[in-house]
Amino acid sequence: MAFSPELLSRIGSYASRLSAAREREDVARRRALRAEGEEFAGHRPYRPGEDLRRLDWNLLARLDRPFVRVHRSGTSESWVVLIDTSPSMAIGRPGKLQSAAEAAAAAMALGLRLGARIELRVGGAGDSGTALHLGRRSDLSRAVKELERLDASRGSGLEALLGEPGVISSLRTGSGRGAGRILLFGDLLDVDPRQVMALGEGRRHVHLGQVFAPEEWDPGADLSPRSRGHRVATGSLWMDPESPSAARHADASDIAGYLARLEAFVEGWSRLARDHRMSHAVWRSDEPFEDHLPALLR
Amino acid sequence: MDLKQIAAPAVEGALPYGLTWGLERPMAAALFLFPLIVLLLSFRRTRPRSAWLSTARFFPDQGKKAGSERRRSLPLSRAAAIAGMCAATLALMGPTPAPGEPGSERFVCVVDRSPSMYLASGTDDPARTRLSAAVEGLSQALRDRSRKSSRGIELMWVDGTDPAADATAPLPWTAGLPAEWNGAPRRPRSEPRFGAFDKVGVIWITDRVPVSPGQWAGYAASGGASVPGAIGTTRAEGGEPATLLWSGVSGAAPTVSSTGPQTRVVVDRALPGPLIELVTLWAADRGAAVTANVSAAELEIVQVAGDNAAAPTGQAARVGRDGWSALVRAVSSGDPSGLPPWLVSEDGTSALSSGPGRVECRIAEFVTEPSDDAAFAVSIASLLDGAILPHPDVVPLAERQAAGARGVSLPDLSLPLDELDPRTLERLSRDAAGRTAGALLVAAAMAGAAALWLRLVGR
Repeated sequence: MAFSPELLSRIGSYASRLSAAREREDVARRRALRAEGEEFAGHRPYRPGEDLRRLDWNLLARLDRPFVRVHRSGTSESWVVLIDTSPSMAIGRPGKLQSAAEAAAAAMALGLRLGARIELRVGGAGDSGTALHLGRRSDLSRAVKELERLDASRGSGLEALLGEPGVISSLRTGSGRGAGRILLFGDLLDVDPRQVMALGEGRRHVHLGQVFAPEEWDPGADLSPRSRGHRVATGSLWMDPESPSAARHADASDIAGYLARLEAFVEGWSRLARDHRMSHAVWRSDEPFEDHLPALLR
Repeated sequence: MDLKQIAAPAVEGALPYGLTWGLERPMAAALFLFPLIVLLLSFRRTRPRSAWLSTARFFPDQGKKAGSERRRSLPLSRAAAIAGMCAATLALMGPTPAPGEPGSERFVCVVDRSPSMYLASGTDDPARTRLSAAVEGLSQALRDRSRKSSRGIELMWVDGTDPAADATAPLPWTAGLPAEWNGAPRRPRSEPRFGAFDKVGVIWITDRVPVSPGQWAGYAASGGASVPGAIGTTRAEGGEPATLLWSGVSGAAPTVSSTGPQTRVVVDRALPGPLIELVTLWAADRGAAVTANVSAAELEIVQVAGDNAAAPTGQAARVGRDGWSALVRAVSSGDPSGLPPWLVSEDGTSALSSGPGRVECRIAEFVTEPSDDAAFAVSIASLLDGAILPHPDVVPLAERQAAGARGVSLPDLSLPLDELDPRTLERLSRDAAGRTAGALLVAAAMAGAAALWLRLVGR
């Protein structure tokens, strides 16, 4: 995993723009985000067109100048970010794990700007993984370092992470006032939907970030258009990194069925998210996180 | 004898009209390397690609088919492209049909068996005839030819003086002339009309070098000096048989010799009475000896036996010619001899037939005597005189003339695979080459277009 200075700059810029936009959103939207309450952060000059209910009338009376009260959304909110580090996340150029980590870093940057307390959980090899607690904006560098250590060849999937005894209950209660938002990043191929539905019980909001590699959307994506038909027609052996023995042989006649089943799988998660008031976004690992994160953090 | 009856040698891979394939630019075959490389690369790349895909489970499970199976299928578009390249390469190589090259050369020897060919060739060896000299000259030429070529040489022999003769089976050239042809035919024959045998692969065996050599045929001429000897028979002043002798000098008058050869006649004693009496008188008058040796006789007079010659029961019929007539009873049946009829009865049956050296009689008995004995005798004598063969020692003057120098000229081409002359073969070759190249180029273009189309439709 690599987080270049340019990528970190993109993450910071994105979090800044999104947090500013959040401040300009309507009250109802903002209140919806403040699931566990809000915290007074200070004053700033009133800008014409702003909601007069945010005007600090006492200050106006004392200073004769209009100021509005600034609250930090999610200040008291707890986020839990889970990242799939199973071998399947190593697929793709760039890899799915890289894409998921970038999206998670951007989401955490936004959460820290909004004052959320964030717990980063990643699967490890042979144990329950790592849990990193973040509370200040400066903690983002620690999170990035932790993300840079991720290795799909030695990690575990979300299913293993959620399947450990007490993990779900821990997530629901969390530390202190419990998790307000649970963000899952991965391909969700090995996740039991019932586990995800259990995460969403209560007032927790579950965000499902589903990432696939380009070649998973088009098994011939790494081939030139002129040779793609031939290569698929003459057959390819596709192997699941998490189940190498279950290799599948595909030719041209199998591609359509494959895509239909993949789209049905994605649609199933989308329908589950819609039915249970979860956020769901799906993207390709070669697409920038800025294109899909707004939908995920809705 | 028709040369078309000569069986053409079978050659493996021969094209119609005796053509086989040749290549104008065989080095262009190196271009086959390109389609070969494409073919090899195609099979190399048809190995199933193995790749990791976490969504592999969405492919249908086809069992163990996916294992290490190596497919050897070739895309249609690439197969068409390879075919096009091969066709274009073939067109560049310039396939050209050419006259076929059999495993061994084969010639047809048309032999002149006229009397001159059996005269002495002029050497000290009296048994060496012009025919044997011509064959020796041919053998020498064939020996030289065989030394220059690894191919064998076979000869088929044809009696050019016998229109009904067939060619012999192909024989090695060392086998020489058929042994039975070393003796002259009993009936003198005329020199062949060699112009009718001017064909590829034909060799004329004669004594004189042809004044107008054939365009395609070759020749082996013995040559030879003039041969003095008997050129005819006559009667001496006393009525005795005599011989006309020629000295061998051109323009010299023949001399009469009283010691000429005696004519020998075979008379069948079963002939009807009037005939046997007349034949006996005729032989005595001509000084001919009556003998039983058929092979040495100049004339054979035979009675054809019917189904019941001892007691003929057929109807009597009248015959007659040259001023005489008689009522005769012919034999009831009998195999036809093939000789032309000389005397035919009023009911259409042949009573007497004759040919060179032979007279056949089908009259079983004379019911009535000939109406005119003198006319009958003159008529029958003329029949016998016309049928009698000349003595073997008597050779016409034209045959005894000098045959000039010896000469041998083998034809350039051996027997073609079919009855086509070289010009026809050349024209067919040009036409076939043009058609072949055109067809190959069209095939290459069509294969290329098909490959492009198949590529566009993803096949």
